[in-house]
Amino acid sequence: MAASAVETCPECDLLQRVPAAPAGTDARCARCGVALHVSPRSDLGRDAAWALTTLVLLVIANAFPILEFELNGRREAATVVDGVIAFWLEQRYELALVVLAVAVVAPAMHAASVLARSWLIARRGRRATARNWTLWSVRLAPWGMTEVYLLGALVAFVKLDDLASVVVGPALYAFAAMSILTAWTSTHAAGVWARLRDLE
Amino acid sequence: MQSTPAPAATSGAAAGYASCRTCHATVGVRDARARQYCPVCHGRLALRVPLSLQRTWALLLTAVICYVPANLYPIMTVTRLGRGQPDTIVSGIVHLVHDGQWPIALLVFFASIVVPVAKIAALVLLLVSVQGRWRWRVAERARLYRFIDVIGRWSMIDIFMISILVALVHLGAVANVSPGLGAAFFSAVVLTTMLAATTFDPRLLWDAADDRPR
Ligand SMILES: [Zn+2]
Ligand SMILES: [Zn+2]
Repeated sequence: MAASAVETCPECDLLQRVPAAPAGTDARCARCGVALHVSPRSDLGRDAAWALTTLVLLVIANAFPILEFELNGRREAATVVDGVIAFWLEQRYELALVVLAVAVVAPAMHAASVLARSWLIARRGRRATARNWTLWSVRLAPWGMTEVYLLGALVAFVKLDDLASVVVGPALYAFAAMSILTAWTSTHAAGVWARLRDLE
Repeated sequence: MQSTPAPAATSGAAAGYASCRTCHATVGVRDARARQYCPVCHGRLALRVPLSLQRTWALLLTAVICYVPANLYPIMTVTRLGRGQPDTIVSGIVHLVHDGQWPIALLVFFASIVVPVAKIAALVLLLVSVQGRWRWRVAERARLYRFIDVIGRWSMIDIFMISILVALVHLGAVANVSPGLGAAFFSAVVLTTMLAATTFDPRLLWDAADDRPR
């Protein structure tokens, strides 16, 4: 973007001239103070690395149990999808669909679309295709709730602890790793849109 | 670094610029009534989110209505040695306190009670302040909006906890956990308040303070 472009603040709509901010900093709105995200371009390699790692962790998170417990000699283990199936079998269909959507489908599709958009933009692929994947990645982001699921699993662990002996499964570690990774790498989507504008 | 406002503080909308809600691009709007799409992300452009206040009120009202059965009906029933014990959101927290699990009890208290109530109250305040054209503490109210937009998702903790317990504990009369109707209503509260936060347009706070009708 050219220096001193006219921008409107996305939060308060103030029309303002935004100076080109030095690298690593972000211009702030003169009225409400939010970051205007006009200068940075997202790091495509880092986004792709995040997406690939998250996809691998998601496979682990879905293939292995979150918690295992033993009571009177009987051993039980549950995966995320077991939780969905259990709701379904208890005729709580709406809860089954909600958990499936926010704990499995949205995180997986978000990571997949971040990978696709990074690859397409880096390869200078078709702009319309890159734009569609970027749109999906931005729209899905708020609905993936892996970090919330992690805390839900911890509460379940504590609730079971007085009932029987509980063991943490590999999936819980995968959820923890995903949460840390996302907190550490999360960037504003503006950098991706700037990349997309460069494709022209 | 601060940017420089236009000479007289004007909103983009008043000057004929739309800020795209999806990609935040600033785009000149020729005719506010004609359909125009963002050149960057191809999203529909609008000076303000269409029917923002009506849609937010509708979602918020749904959330308030669902909040009552969410707390009255049990969210799950725990059966131990043949004795079933239904748990509501509040009684689940009380049990955690009795078990001495203070940190977890506090976590669930915040996620299941403080967050939804604070979120509903904050959205009502924001809506009323826009409709009453308040000039009072606009920046603080804008910050409140950004905050509630971020915290809403954390209320799903209880739903995920129940999902895991129901899948794990099904030993018939010895030990069993089954989900309750309260959990379904509670997830509806979380989802409708999340949607209400996205349909609310924070720029209306500043419009009201400018006392300039959109
Ligand atoms: Zn602003
Ligand atoms: Zn756009």
